[in-house]
Amino acid sequence: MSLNIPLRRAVAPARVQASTTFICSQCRHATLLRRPKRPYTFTQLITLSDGSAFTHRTTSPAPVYRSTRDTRNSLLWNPSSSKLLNVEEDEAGRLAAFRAKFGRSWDANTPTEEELIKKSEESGDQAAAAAAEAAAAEEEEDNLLDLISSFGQEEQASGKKKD
Amino acid sequence: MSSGSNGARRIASVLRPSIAEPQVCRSCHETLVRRNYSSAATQSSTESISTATPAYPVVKPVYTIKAGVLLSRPPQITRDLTPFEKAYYFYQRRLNERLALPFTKYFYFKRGTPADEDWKRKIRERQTPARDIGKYNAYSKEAWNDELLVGSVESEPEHQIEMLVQDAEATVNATSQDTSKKEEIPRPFPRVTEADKANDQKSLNRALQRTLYLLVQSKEGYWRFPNSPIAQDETLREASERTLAQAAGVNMNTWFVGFHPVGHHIYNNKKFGAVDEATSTQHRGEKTFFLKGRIMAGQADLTNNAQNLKDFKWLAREEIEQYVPPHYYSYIKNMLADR
Amino acid sequence: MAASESSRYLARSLPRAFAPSARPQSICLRRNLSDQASSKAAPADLEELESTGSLHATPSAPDAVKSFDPISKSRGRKKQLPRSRYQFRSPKYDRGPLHPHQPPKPSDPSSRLYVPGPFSLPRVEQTYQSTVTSDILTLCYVHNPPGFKPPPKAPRLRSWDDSSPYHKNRPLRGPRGGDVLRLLRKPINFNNIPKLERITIHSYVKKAAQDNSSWLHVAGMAVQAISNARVETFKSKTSVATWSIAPGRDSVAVKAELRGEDMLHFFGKLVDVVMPRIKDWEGVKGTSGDSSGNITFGLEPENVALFPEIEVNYDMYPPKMIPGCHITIHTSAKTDKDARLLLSALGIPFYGKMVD
Repeated sequence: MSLNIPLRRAVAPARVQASTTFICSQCRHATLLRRPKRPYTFTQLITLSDGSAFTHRTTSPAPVYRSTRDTRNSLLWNPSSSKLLNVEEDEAGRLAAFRAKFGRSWDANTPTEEELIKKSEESGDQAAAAAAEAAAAEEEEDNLLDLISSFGQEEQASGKKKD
Repeated sequence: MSSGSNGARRIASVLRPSIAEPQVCRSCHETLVRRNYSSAATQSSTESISTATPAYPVVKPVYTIKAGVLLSRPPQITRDLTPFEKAYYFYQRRLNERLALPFTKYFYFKRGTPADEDWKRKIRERQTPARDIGKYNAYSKEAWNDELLVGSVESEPEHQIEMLVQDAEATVNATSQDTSKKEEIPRPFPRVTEADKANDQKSLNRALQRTLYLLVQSKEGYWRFPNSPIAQDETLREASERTLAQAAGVNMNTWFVGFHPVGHHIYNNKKFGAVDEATSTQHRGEKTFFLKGRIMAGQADLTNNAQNLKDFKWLAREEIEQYVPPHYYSYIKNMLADR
Repeated sequence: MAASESSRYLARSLPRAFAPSARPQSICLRRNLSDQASSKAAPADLEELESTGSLHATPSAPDAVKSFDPISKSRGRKKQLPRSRYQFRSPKYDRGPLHPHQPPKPSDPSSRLYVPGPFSLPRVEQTYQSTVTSDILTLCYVHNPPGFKPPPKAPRLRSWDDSSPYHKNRPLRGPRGGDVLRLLRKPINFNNIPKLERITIHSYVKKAAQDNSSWLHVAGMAVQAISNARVETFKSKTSVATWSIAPGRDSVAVKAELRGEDMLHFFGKLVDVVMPRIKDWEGVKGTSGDSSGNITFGLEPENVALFPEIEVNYDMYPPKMIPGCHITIHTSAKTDKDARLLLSALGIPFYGKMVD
């Protein structure tokens, strides 16, 4: 307080006079402490397509967000998942008819026995997901749900991750 | 006199740890030689001395080098919060209720729409836009009363998720045209699985919050990580990949992390073997170097394994301690993750 | 003299050579922190210490719990408490360190500058701690055999060759081929594993200068919605004549900077929900990055609209006014290669030629 009083006295006559003299005394103005402004955030439950769920903070007021397309069913994140590769649709049975007539030699990739085995074993592991998924997409843990049995794909996947 | 001192010095120079000795492996030694020409010169000189006149037979200990696999399944879900963390996060959320900008309702709900009516009704009920902090009005006279009482469940994450889902259900039922049918929003899967309850230690769906490691049991009944001796002209990585394929089958999608071992285990035989006269070596035991791997998909399968294994288990860190001998555990414990 | 010296040497080196190289199995007097996990009996001195913290206090009596009702107690109070007892208001102004009335520290909840949080334990953080760090540490390990000395490196700043007398006392020359000194990459060990530091969302709205400021407002709202943070606006620094933008005149950009919990939640949402939904997206370009560990990529306006926060009230944004944005992920890695390793471990795909 004692510091401020002489300063103010020095300032007051200077304002009355012309601005010819520049008063170079040390002064410290008060700084307004502004409250930081932050938008209101909610907790939202995000359910991914394979049923795993996690909560996060968001500005959106919707309590639950169900995603239909995410890392669990996107080919870019699951390069070794054969489920997501484009599978030929043969609802009318025309392809089957073609094969019955001309054989399978025209197919680009014939399904192997291993894939068939995999399909049968797939059903046992489906119940495995929980309230919050804590695994990176690197780990591709939803691949736990389906078995990849061909040994060559493993090297391909590991080669990709090394980058 | 002088000859005796020379002999002693020669023995000492043979026994002195130099980089030509087996303390440095072959590939490292090559890199050293490549990078340091001066050291290569000294090494060749010592070798010539030692081969010239060995004072008496020096026995080289020889170990079997083995490659091991530390195959792990990373944690699949977030961990349980401690009571302190629950209380802290809850307190911060109620504090944030007072300090953040108020929710701009008109930006999200158009006036007069069913969603708006529903929102108003809910706000009247719980007095705050947030669903996970219980009934709390940050702008009332009693806003100071932001602490939970003993036994209240509002800070539990399960309760908060339940409130979110109930709120979504209420919105769906209130705004839908069809009032006869009750919409049901599926709850998240339980954090404790069937395999947890049954304590099925072969299942990968167990202990989702923990890292699980593959342990195999030999025919003699010892539990350890899969390992096998390294063949000639085989790198550690190739050997461990082969080991895994031989031990647990190829029915897994795995990824080996890097090319360097994360840990090792040294086993010394109780009785040292006979000294091989030709090469003056003595077999002392085995050294196992563990490479880290991650399992992405699949399951271990011990039928027609090539290593005389009879059982396998997926175990977390503390469970491993109960299965392996203490000496083995003292080597491996530092490469196992806490969580 | 010579004999005594060599025999001393022999005496020193012999026991070292003949000792069995295996560790003695019987007794181990070393005690590490990690030993505590094993079932070693705690010394008797430590037994009298409290084993559990104050969090595990004994539960209070049930009747005391039932009768505790702070609201009714305060309502039933006849006289008001003195203000100093229950309410402290921070001064509105900071008047300097010599002023008798000091505002509390920003970390104090009663301070005006206090920012609460964190409100949750982000799952990206947990994945990073439990899985990614140890993998990166293993992947980045470089084995140096004992006795290895790294070859001497040339100094980063070159000295002058003193061919001219004017070279005296000059500051050192910059590196060859440009003046930029790249960051030094140290070997990655347990305490410099790359991690996420901050994420910047930046949106340059050129229509804000051409048309009117509503473009900037919408961009600010959109960026705030997806990022949970207030945005800053920026004026143009450069003149773009074709867009009629003059430096210092027009506010043309908004930026939000995220750290900590906000950043991690944004990152998780971006990777898990938004990126897979982008049409025909191959990933982040491998050439992206400023060669010091910060990776930038852009999102088109239709991709920004894929965020769940914008989807929930898409109609509220004026049509065609949702901005695109650039997202910069600042990591503590010193090279782009390490940053890419971290980000791909956390789930961002990269494609094309990788430039380090």
